[in-house]
Amino acid sequence: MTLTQQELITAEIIRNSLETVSKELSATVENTALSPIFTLNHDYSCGVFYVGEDDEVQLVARDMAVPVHIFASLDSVKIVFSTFAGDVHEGDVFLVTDPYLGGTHCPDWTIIRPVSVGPGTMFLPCVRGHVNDVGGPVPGNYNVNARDVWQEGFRIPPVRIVSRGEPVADLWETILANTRLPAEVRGDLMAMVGACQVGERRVRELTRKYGVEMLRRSVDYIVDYSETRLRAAIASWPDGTYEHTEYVDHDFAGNQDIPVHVKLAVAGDEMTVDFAGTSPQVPGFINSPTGNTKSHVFTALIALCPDIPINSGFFRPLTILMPPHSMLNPDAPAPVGNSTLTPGTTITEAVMKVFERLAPELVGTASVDMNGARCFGVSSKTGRYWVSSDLAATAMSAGGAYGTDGWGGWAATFCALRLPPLEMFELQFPWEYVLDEYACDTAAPGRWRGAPAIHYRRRHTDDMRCTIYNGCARNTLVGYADGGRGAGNYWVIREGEPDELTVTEKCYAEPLAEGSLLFSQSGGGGGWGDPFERDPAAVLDDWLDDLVSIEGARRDYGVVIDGERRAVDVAATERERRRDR
Amino acid sequence: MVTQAFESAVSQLRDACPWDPAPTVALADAEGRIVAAEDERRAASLEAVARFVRDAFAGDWAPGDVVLSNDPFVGCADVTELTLVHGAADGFALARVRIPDIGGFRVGGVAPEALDIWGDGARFPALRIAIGGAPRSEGRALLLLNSRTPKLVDRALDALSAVAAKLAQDLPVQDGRAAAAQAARDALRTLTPGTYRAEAAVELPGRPAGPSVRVTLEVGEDVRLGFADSDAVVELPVNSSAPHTLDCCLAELADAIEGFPTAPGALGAVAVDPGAGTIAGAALPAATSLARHVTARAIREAVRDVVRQAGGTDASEGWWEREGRRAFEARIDPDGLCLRPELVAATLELERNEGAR
Repeated sequence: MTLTQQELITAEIIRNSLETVSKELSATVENTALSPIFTLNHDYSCGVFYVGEDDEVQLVARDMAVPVHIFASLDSVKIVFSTFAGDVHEGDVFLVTDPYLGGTHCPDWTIIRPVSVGPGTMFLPCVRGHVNDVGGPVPGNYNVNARDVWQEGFRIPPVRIVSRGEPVADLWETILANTRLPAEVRGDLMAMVGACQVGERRVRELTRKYGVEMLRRSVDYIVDYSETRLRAAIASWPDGTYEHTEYVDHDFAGNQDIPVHVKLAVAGDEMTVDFAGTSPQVPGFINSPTGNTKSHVFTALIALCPDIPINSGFFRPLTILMPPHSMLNPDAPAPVGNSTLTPGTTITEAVMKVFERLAPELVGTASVDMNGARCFGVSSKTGRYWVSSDLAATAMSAGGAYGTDGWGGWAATFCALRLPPLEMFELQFPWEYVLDEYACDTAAPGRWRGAPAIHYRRRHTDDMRCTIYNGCARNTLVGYADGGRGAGNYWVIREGEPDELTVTEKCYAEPLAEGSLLFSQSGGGGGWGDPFERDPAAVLDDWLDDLVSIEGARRDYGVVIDGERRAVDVAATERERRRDR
Repeated sequence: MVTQAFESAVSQLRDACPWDPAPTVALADAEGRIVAAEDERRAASLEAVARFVRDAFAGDWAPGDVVLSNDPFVGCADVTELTLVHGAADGFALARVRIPDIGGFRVGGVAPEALDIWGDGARFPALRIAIGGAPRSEGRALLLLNSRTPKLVDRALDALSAVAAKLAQDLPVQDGRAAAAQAARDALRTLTPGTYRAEAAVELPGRPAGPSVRVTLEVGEDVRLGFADSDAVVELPVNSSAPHTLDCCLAELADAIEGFPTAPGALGAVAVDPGAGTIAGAALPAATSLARHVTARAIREAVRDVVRQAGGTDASEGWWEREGRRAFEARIDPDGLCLRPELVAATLELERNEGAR
């Protein structure tokens, strides 16, 4: 694809315009959706896909998104496009959710609005969002006891929910009959549909402004450019084969330390990621559909190459081999409900660890140290049924990277998610926050340390039930280049009561009475580099910020702090750092 | 002629569904009122489905449209009871079978751990699977994807569609509703005026007594049967939806009151209040999968008791021992309160064989 200098500039404007369209989709959803999971947690992602004359479906632009949403959407768009080939009309909107039809887990719903702008040229604004409840046996759909996908929620194949601009009423009613929160989900679904309508408007404006041919040529260029950039990056890495195994704590069905094995082969400007040697599919709900598996590989890769525009061209130099019947390419109907978190996080870690061997200064935690909980109940004040997803309890995963400590917030896998404003959650759900702070001596040591763990405690103001799905209690997030591991996760329910229960794996629908306390530790990501190479002044800062104790500074960093002088004892530190470890 | 058509239809459904499909068929008029039913004791719930479909698609309905429903809060006893409604020029033909699975916690849709209806399985209040005679593949795909036995359900759908389409040709039939209601009123006059109350607990094998059904029968100028004093819905799959309770009432009244017919329209002689929010008048999101067994027994026993107090017969005494227990034990594992393991195995084997067929 050769463009003139002027066309190159236009193509770049079009690329940025399409990314702006994606941002506008996001803003539309945020401002019009109803549920806190959309409006506050931002658990959705938006992008624009493209189909040219070759009928290949390509991602061309995305907003800052949850990668596991937007990359897996590629498969969703493909399946909708193939299902309805030749039967797509102006004003149609499609929905697909099924994990085995391009999805990840049942609550992730993908809305697609094809926009034909010329012969053989179609843009597809798309929103994928995590819906708060999609029926199935367990409120919130994290069924820790699931043994098949029907125990995880309502499954939706590709369906046309808006036909030529008109909602298909009986489909909507059927879909909404399969959620415990029909009013909220209807609002979120309408927000997603509405956002795609905004996307259509913007795409048509772009078409009017630049013409179909220029759009087509620009998309080809945009995608090729990313491919070229990634190929150059790969070519700069040494050819060879690199392997690593990471472990998932458990499968929620009694199996422990489940391997995710990666073999990375770099050859010239291409790479192959092969998961042979990974666990066969497991009984519990951590099997990862292929779209999910690929997304987590892409997540690691984009973290390694942050300055390359993300689109389908970026994926071309990469071949991903996922052994059939394995945990990372399961056969239906294996349960998959927790796949976006577990083993998703382990996939990304394992891929990162192989890259540690070829590009150590680029790697770091791009995973999420997930400790999840879904609570549900009926408000004694309003009689309203509710289901909550409180990300404040799962606040931390960032790790150290070359040149920087881990910071608060989310790591790459879920970077678009937001921590909810606690006051808003206190208004919407029956609890009060008692504690939400960094815990001392919990950060993964490193030359650049990981983020400390968050300690979280809340007191309930109504009765409810609680389901917990906890990972990374033992196999905590890894460190890089000799950095230490994160602190890991656990929960304490009914804290301080005779029937207090510490949860490191799971519990299902445990009753929590009014007045009861719920505690969680959410660990941070791994450290980067040898902790004994950490700048002692940075350790002192951490001590002053109550992030490390005097004992921890000596043990983990070899830094001796004189508490009275509030200073580093330089001579003692030098001696300490020379000791055998 | 209609009877013959019904027998043939039920036979066809039974042949096509080699499990325990409990088939039945009926015809409804344009208002959704059942005018003829193969099993008249299930007519009330079938009518509820027909009326719901009529209302749901009002103004958007044509002969040849086909709608499926399995929703207890529309008119099915539980989510495995799939009812097909086929539109005709003068009304609706309905065909119903029990399908082997529709998701939820367990194969067969019976799960003691179900906290709510979604624990039983997926809900389909009214979804069109044919429009003007043309198949609508999205509707069917949506249903099949939510079953562990999609091939068997597909087969059931084919049979239901064929049967309902054929029956639709029999419309209209003679409407005997008024005569049935009059016969019912005449029979009710044999009862002694007064107010009567009775109670029966829902019995679950090997478990403490469950919630109670409480019924009040008022015999006067009008006859009223009310369940409002029953226990509230519970987080167990024993809640009976209102249409299912109506079916139970009709069956019991016909057994216990001499001359009370089961023919469509008979229940019009009694004002039945299932008691919204109780285990006899369950609403969303109550789980219902065991209601047709254990709660049906309690409802019938309570109704029998009040009717007997009012001078009715006890002809239905022993119904549970004669029919109910057998049906219960044939399907349900009393220890686990789920589908019997051998039935689950047989169902899954059938599904596998259906794939090979």
